[in-house]
Amino acid sequence: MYAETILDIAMNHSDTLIEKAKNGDRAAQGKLVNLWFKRIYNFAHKYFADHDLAMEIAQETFIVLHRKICQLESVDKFKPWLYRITANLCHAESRKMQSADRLRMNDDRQEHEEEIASAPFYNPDKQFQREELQRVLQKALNALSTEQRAVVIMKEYEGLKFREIAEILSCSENTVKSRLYYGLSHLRQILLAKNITTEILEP
Amino acid sequence: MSDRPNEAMLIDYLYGELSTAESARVEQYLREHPEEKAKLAGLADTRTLLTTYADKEVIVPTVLEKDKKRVGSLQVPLVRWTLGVAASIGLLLLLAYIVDLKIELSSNELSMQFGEQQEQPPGTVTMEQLQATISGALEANYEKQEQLMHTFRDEWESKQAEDEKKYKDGLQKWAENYLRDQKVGLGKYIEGLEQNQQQVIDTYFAHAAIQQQAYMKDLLMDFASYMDEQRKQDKEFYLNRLIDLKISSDIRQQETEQVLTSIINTVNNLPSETTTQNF
Repeated sequence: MYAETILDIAMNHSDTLIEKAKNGDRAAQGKLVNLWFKRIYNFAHKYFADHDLAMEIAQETFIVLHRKICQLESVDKFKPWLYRITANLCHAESRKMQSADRLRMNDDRQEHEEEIASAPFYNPDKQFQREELQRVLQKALNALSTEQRAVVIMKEYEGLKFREIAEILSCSENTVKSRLYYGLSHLRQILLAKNITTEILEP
Repeated sequence: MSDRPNEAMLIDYLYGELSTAESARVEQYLREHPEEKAKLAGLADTRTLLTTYADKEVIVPTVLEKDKKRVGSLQVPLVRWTLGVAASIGLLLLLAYIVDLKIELSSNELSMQFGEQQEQPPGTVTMEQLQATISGALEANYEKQEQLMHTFRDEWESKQAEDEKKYKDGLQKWAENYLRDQKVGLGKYIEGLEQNQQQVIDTYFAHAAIQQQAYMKDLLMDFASYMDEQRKQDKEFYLNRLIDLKISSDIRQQETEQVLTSIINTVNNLPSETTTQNF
């Protein structure tokens, strides 16, 4: 599910860099931004389906990193620590959006789910079909609750371990697995409603 | 395994994080409950579909935005509004100081003054004098305007006449040149056209003569061969007629011979007396 790239290898073997950044080395902190920005941006992008918001969350994450990395307990906790900052910022932003315009959000969510459920999924053009599938998946992810969405993204796209996700979200591993189970089930229902199964994927 | 494994265990099974024994137990349960097995397969299917939602490429910003918390109390709207109003008032006061603004309110009159106060001229002016001065100034101004208007109109008319003459001359010259050019061009064109036509006609006649000659030759050759063929066919016809005549003459001769033979036989068979009597 989660293919390891050169960037992933670099991210997972950057203990020295993290240690330097922790000790206040600005160059090392800059390198950490370069290493992790794409992952953090994509986490936020899948969470909100909004480029500007994702950029804002990613930037805020690294501002917090610059300010608080000296408080990091140990180097091996860096990854969950960074994701915890991002997840907290995402949850805070989500709450802000809900309280600012709760009614509109609810209406949008309802319309969103109705649109997902009713619109037919058909296009003979493969490229368009792939883009359309991404769009549907993005909308389906946004239809999940924030807790389920965060767990699905962390597990499926960020390749985090259940233990790490539990640590990030400050809950038990069983809670994480339960959220993942119901999150995937919900996604399955949404996709089935649009007749989307693995059969539509190219062999 | 009759007890349903909880969601956490099913997820562990889905992600391959169970021990062999636990996996076997879950598989046993799934064999006994096909609907659960189908549901789990659906979740695996969903995971496969999720892989198609690829990461987006993003350019890492060279400079991160300023930390918002450093702005502090400036973020509070009331403070920002108050500071804005104070800054505006301060700016107005500074401006008034620079231009030496004086505002005075006395006996129902509000007066504003910039810079040094002007000294009043000695003596007073009556309303009639003021009126006469204004009328005189207006008349002088009117006369000046009239003069200016006349001067301008004369200049404009003379310039207009000059321009018109220039324009007419230019137009005439252009028309002459144009006509001359047109005439020359047309002559050349007609000459060229005539030459071309002559060439075309000559070529056409030469070609037509060759074509006609060839055609007549073909026609005469065809006629000669036609006559030969006709003669041959006539010859064959007459030959066949002669053969037919000969055949029919032979047949008639045979018939005649048969008739004669029959008469002779009849005569020979008659008795002699009868024959004599008859004769």
